[in-house]
Amino acid sequence: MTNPQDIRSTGDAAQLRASTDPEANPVLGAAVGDTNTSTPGGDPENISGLELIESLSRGELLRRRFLRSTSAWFGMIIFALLVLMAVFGPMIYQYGPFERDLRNALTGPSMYHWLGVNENGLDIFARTLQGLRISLVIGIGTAFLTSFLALAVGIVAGYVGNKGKWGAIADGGLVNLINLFLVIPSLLLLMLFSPVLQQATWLWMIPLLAGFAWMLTARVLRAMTQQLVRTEYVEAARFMGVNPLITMTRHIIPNIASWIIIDTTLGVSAAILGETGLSFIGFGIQYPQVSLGTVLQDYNISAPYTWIPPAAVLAALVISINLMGEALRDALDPTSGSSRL
Amino acid sequence: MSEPILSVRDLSVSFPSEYGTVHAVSNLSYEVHKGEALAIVGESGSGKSVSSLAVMGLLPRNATVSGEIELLGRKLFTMDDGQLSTLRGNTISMVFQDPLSALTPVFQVGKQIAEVVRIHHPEVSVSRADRRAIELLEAVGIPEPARRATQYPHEYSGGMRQRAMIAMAIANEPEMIIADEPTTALDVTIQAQVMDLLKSAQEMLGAATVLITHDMGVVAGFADRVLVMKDSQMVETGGVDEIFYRPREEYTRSLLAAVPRVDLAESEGSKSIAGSALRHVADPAAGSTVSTPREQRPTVLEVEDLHRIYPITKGALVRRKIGEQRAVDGISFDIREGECLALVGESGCGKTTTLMEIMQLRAPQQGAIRVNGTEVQDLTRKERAALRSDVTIVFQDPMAALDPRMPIADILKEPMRVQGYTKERMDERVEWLLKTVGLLPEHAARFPTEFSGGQRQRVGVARALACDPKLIVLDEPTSALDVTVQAGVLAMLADLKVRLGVSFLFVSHDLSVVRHISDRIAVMRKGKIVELGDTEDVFSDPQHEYSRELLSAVPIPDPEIARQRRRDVIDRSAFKGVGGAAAGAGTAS
Repeated sequence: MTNPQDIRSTGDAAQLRASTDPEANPVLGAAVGDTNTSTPGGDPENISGLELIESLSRGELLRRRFLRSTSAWFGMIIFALLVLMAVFGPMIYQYGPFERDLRNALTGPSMYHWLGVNENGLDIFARTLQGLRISLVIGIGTAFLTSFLALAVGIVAGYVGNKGKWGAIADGGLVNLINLFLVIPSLLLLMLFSPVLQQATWLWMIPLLAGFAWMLTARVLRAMTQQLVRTEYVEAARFMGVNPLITMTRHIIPNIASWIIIDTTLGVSAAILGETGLSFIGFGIQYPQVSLGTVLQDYNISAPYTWIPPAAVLAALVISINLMGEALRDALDPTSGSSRL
Repeated sequence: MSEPILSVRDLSVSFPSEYGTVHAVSNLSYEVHKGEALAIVGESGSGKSVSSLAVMGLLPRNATVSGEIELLGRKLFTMDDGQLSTLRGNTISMVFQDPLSALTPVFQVGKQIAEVVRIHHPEVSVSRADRRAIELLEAVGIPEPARRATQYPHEYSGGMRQRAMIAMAIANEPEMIIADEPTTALDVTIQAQVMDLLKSAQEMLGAATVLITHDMGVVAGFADRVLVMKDSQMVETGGVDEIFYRPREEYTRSLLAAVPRVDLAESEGSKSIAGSALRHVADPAAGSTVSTPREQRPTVLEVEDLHRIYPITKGALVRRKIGEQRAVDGISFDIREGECLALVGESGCGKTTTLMEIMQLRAPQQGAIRVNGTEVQDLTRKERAALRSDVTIVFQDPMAALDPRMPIADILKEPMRVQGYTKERMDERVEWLLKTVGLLPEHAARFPTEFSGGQRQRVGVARALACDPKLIVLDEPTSALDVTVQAGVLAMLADLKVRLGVSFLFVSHDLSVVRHISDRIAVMRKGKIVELGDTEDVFSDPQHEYSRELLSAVPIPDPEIARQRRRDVIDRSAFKGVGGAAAGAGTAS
C-alpha cells in the first residue's frame, strides 16, 4: 500500500477497519488473535470481520456521499420546484399559453398576469410554464435516447475490436460512422429537417437532437469497453464459454453504468440548451407548441419582463441539473473529494 | 551508540471514513541510527506504509496525526511543506513499491535522476547533472548507462526501473532511505539482485534505512533490526537474529512459518500452524501418487511442440515484418490425472502465453494441444463449449478476476449457466463450492469488494471448480497475496487436489511456492522448457544451470545463510565520479 489514495477507497477502508480496530469491535478483537491458529487447510484470514463491513452497501454509500454535497441539495430542490411548477402550474393558472389579452399587451406584472403580457397579448407566465414542460420532456427524452445510441454503438465497437480480423473491420466501420457524424454540419441538418418533421409531431425533436449528440459519448464508451474487455473477469467469462451478448450485458454495462448515469444527467441540460437554441432561431418547436426557446423568441428588449422570466427559468433548470450531475460524479468517483469527511 | 537519525515517538495516524475512524497506526515508536537497517514487517493493512508516509510528510490532508517524528534532531511536524521539500530527496529519500508508476512516463530516466540532483543543488549545471545521472545509473549496474539514460521508463524492465529508482534515491547521498516493498512487484531472481543492490548502496552511504515488507525472507539478508507490526500496532522488535531464531510472539512465529522454504525438506521447518498446514496437506497427496503409477493414469492435458510466434512489424501503412518474437518455442509436456505440474520461470519467459494457448482451445500456430486425448483443433463449436467446463483457470490478481458488480453467487453460477445446469443444482453447488474453499455459504450474497485478497482468490478457485473440471490452470495464484495468506491458499489447493482428484497446471515465478504442491516441475526460459522432472529431483539436484540460479535466488528466512549469500554489487568508483564530488560537497555544506 504505497499510494495514500488506496486508504481512501471504500473497500480498503472497510478492510482497514476490520483489521485495525480490535478495541472498537470486541468480536473481532477476539478473532484477530487467533487468525493464524486455524485448522490445517483452514482460513488464515478472518471471516468474522465481514459482518462489520456488510452494514454499508454500495447504494447506501452512494446516497450518503451524494447527500453530503450542498450543491446536490441545491440542484435537487431547484429541479423539484421547477418540475412541480411545470406539472401543476398550467392546471391552476387562469390563462393558457395561447390566450390573447390584447387590451393588456406589453404590460408588466400585475395581479392577473403574474409576469406580464408580451406585445402579442400572450401571458408570459403561462407560456413559460408550458415551455418548461416541453423543454423538460425533450431534454430528458433526448438524453436517454442519446445514451442508448451511444451505448449500443460504443459497446459493440469496443467489444468486437479485438475479436480477430472481422471484428477489427466492424470496429473500424463504426468508428468511421462516429467520425462522419462528427464532421457533418449538424446545425444545418437540424434546421433542414426540424420544420418538416414537426408537421407530424413535436416529439420528432427528440430523435433529431439525439441523432447528432451521441458521437462523443460513444467514443468514450468504446474506449472504456476496450479497457474492460481486457480485464480478467471478462477473459474468465470468455474461457467459460459465455455468450458475448451476455458478457456485454452482465459484465460490461454494469461496470460502466456509473459513467453513463453521469453523462445522461449532464446530457439533459445539453439537450435543453440545444432545443431552446433551435427554437429561439425559429427552427425548433413550432406552433401549436411552445418551448422556452420560443417564449424567448418573443422578447422585447425594452420590456425586460418579456425575457427575464423564461431566461431565468432556463438558467435555473440547466444549473440545477448540472449541480446534480457534478454531485453524482463526485459521489461515484472514489478518488474525488467527497469521500473525505 | 550514536544519535539516532530518525526517531519516531508515539506516532498515531487515523483517517475518517464512512465506517468511522480508521486507526492506521497507533502508538508506534522506533529509532533508526546511522548505518542501521530497520525492517518493518507486517501484512497489508497493518499500517507499515502509512507510518513511512508520515515520516516523509506525504500523508493525505484528511489524516489525523499525533506523536513526534524527529529527523536529525529537527521536529518534522513543526515544518511546513516547503521546508519538508528541502529534506525530501536530499536528506531522506524513498524507493517505492511499483517502479512503473513511480517514474514519470513522459520524461527520460536520465533527466528524472538529474532533476533530483538539480533541485537540491541548483549550482550544478544541467550537463553536469546529466553526467551525474549516467554515473549513478552505472553505479546501480545498468548496462550501457549513457544510452539507457536517454530512454523512457517503458523501455526499462521492472528490475531496471527499480534500479533507476535506487539511483535516484542515492543521488544526493541521503542520511535516510525508506524502501516501501521495493521488490514485491518483481520476479524472484530480480528481487535478489535489487535487494543486494539496496544493501550495498546503504552500506556505501552509511545511511539509515527503513525497509517495509511483508516478506520475512527478504528481511533476513538485509536488516539489522526488525519491527513486526500487526493491526496498526507494534508486535515485537529486536535484532534480526533474535527475531528469526528466538521470536517471542506467536504472530512473529506465524509470519516466519508462512515463508515457503526451499532449503528445508518437508520433515523439518517451523512449528507454526500455517507452515505445518502446507506440509500436512501435501502428505496425502504423495500417498495417492504411489497408489497408481503415473504411467497408468489417463492423460488430462498433452502439449506437443507448441509454438507461438508474434511477428514484429514496422511501418504504418505497409506492414513489413522485420522480425519475430518467439514467445513459446516448441514446448512439450503432459499432465496426468490428479497430478500437479508447476511451470516455473521469470516474467516474459512465455508462461502466460502457453496458458492462453491452452485456454483458447483452438488450433495453435504449430504443434498440438490434446485435452482428454482429443485434439482441440478438431472440436466443433458445441464440443468446445462443453470442454470449457473441463479446463478452467484461476487468475493472478484476485481483484481483477471477479466482476466487482456481481454477488459471489452469480459469479459462481456463471460457468454453470453456460453448461445448462438447473437452478436447484446451481444453488446446491454454490453452497458446496463455498464450503469446499473454506468460505461460509452466507457469503454468497456478498460482493467481491467485501472480501480480502485471499478470500477473493478462494472465490476464484471456487469458480474454477464450479463444473467439476479435470484440469485447473493456475496463473500465479498467490503472487498478489501476502505471505501468510499465500500459505493458506496453497494449503487449500493441495487439499483440493487430494480430495477431488483435479489436475493442476500451476504457473509461478517462485520455486519455493511450488515446492509443497507440485508433483513435477517444468522450468521455462525464453519460450523453452530447460528442465522437466519430479519436484524432489529438481530441488535436490537441479540439472540445468538456470534452475540452479532460480533456486539460489529464493530468499531464505535465515539471517546466517542470507548473509553468506550476499554479494556487493554497487559500482563505488562510478558513484564517486566527477559529479559525485560536487554533490557530496553540497550535502556537506
